[in-house]
Amino acid sequence: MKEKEGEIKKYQDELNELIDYINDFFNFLPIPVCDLSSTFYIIQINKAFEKLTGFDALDITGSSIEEIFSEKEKIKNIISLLQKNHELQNQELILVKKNGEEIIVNTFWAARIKNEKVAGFFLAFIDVTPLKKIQQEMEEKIRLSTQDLKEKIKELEEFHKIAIGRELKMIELKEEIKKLKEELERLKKKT
Amino acid sequence: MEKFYVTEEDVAQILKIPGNVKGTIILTNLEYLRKKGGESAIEKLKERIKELEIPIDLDNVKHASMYPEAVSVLIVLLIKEILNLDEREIFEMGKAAVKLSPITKILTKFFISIDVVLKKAPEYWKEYFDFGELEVTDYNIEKKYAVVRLKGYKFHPLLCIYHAGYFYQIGKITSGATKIIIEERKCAFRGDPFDEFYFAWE
Repeated sequence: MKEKEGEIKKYQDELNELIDYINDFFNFLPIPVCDLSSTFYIIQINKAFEKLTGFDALDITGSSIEEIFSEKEKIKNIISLLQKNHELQNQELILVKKNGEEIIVNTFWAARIKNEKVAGFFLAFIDVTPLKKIQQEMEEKIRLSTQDLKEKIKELEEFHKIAIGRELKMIELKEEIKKLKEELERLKKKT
Repeated sequence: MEKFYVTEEDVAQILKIPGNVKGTIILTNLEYLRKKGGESAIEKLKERIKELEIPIDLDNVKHASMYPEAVSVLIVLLIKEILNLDEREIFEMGKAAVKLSPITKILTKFFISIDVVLKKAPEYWKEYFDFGELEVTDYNIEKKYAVVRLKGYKFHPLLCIYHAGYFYQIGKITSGATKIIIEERKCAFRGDPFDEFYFAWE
């Protein structure tokens, strides 16, 4: 009996160590991570999730994952794909923070399989809003530069057209002068 | 609402009841208290535990180790006292026990679907408690209801509300339903031989 109790105590201690390790590691992760049930309800979030979204565990666990994203059709599509594929990467979505602010996140999804059944999902995401802002600024700069360049090319083409026209007119005039000179010479000879 | 106090008589009476529970339940209730009342509320709880001579060292509670359920129940009652919780908030604390417990996440084998969780409910109870029984006496997945019976558990009537919150939250995450109904239809404190909860989802 005592031996069995000692064994149980040993397993409990090991389990305690394991739980502490999982908790510490989960909360150390610098990117937001959450555990979802097989029905896509939030079961657990880490500290980085709380920090980025402003939601704490009491606010958000037990809510459907659909609630934190604004593009409902897109998230429904992701859920439907995950039920078939069990893994999805680089899915960009708009996340609505607790304060209502919208941010763009790149999401990564993976199913947890237990006895050949989906027991839940992991979701991790990265805030790409600053990158998207830089990208948008760069795109705007490129658009403006392209527009500027197009205008310059147009001006150059017009100038080119004018310059070529002038050149052709000169040739035409020279040809006319030459003809007139020849006519004059002929008339001089006749008289 | 009349101010609720845990008395020495409550402590003496509850501590007589046998049965143990995993420390994770105590830790998640402490986390709830911390989130709602901050560190000062935790300190207040420690003071009250000392005053009432409740046998527990809150700084050394471990998730998977076993502790008297009586102590865990007294902690719930003291949290009610400190935060001045009403019954609705006790229900919320029961929900929060699922939300905040790391063990709940480890036991994902139970949460595959509402069907699995109902079939494995007795096993799930045994993961936490070394006494009492949780039975699902009737359920119909198509009609979306279940009847859950808790036998051999009689500590305090407020725990019925806490358990209702707990079952509600488990049902919510496993059914994926937006509307959940939970009613305690029988209660050991009202003369019934057990607690019975009717649970339905839409």
